[in-house]
Amino acid sequence: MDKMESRNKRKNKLVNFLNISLIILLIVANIYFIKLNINIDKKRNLNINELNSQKNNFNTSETKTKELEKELTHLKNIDEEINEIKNEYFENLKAFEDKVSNKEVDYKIAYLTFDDGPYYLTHKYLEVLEKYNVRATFFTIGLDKESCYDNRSKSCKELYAKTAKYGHTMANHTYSHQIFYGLYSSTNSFINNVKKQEKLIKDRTGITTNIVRFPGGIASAGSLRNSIVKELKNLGYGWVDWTASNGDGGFVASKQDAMNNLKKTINEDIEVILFHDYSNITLSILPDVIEYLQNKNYVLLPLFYESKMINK
Amino acid sequence: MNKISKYLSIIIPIILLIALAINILKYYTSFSDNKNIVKDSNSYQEKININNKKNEELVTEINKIKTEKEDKIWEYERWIKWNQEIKEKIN
Repeated sequence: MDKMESRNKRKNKLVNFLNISLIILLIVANIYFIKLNINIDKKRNLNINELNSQKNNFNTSETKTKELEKELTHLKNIDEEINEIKNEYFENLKAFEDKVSNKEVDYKIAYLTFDDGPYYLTHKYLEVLEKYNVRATFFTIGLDKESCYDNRSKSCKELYAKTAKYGHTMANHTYSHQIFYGLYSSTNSFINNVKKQEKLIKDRTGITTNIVRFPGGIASAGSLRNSIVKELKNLGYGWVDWTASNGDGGFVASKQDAMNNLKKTINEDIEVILFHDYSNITLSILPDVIEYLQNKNYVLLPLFYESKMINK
Repeated sequence: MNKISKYLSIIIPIILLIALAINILKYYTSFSDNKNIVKDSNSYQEKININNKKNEELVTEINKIKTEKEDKIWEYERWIKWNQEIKEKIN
């Protein structure tokens, strides 16, 4: 019996020892894996932050790619986009002119027009207009324009393109302007002059113009007036004279006279003002003219075919 | 007491075993999850690198065209400005 008891006691001690050992081992194993889990959770959180940051960076880079592709498309199609914005601009001009005409706004409109150029002075005219952010209309001719009537300046050829580039309306004043040398000898003579000048403007600027001014005004056409107007209409042209001027087409004694002449003729809400870009006097008073008109609430704009001032 | 001791000497190891099993399962789940996160992260990094390279090429092409079409860009910006000016007067 004693032997049995003693064996049982040893057996129980062994079982207890094994049990305690197992418990300790399991506790240690649990602690080990808890530490591993804490570390891996830390790493996981860092990696999640890193992943989120990269997702943001990826989205940013995608957005950047789209912006760059849009910019590239815009640059590649810039010619078409210029034409679109120009069309929109002239539609808005028409809307503005209608509002002025109907007295829906406090503004008035003055269309500055310069005839018979380009001349060597036209460079200076462009500088003044550029300084004041004004666009005008240039009724150009073609005869004798290789040297701008003198040899002091660059060829007039580049002035057509420069005038167009600066956003001014290129208009047709016939190729020769030879009022007393056959321009008005027949309808064909006049129309051929218009077509010749149209080709010249197109060759030098890429622009097809559709506004014409009769050299000397439409009154100079005399009895040919109606047939010329009919032919111009068939060619898609509108025509315009002027409603105001400073008299620089004739003799003007001084700057003051030129200014006074102009002021006397400015009356309406919409004026088409005649100047000549060969005139030194007009050039010298041009800043004053611009300021005078703007102070009277005139907005200075280039002519356009759809304008109510263009006869069609 | 002996009965309680016997009971505890069975229950405690079982509880500890279950806890260990849970911890091991959690570890391997987290390990696998972390592996996938790292994989995703590397994948995004690759895509970012591709996009950055593409964007560099686009910038080079854009700068080249800007130089070639400087005049046209200048002209376009002027018409945008004039259009805006007239729209303001209409409104």
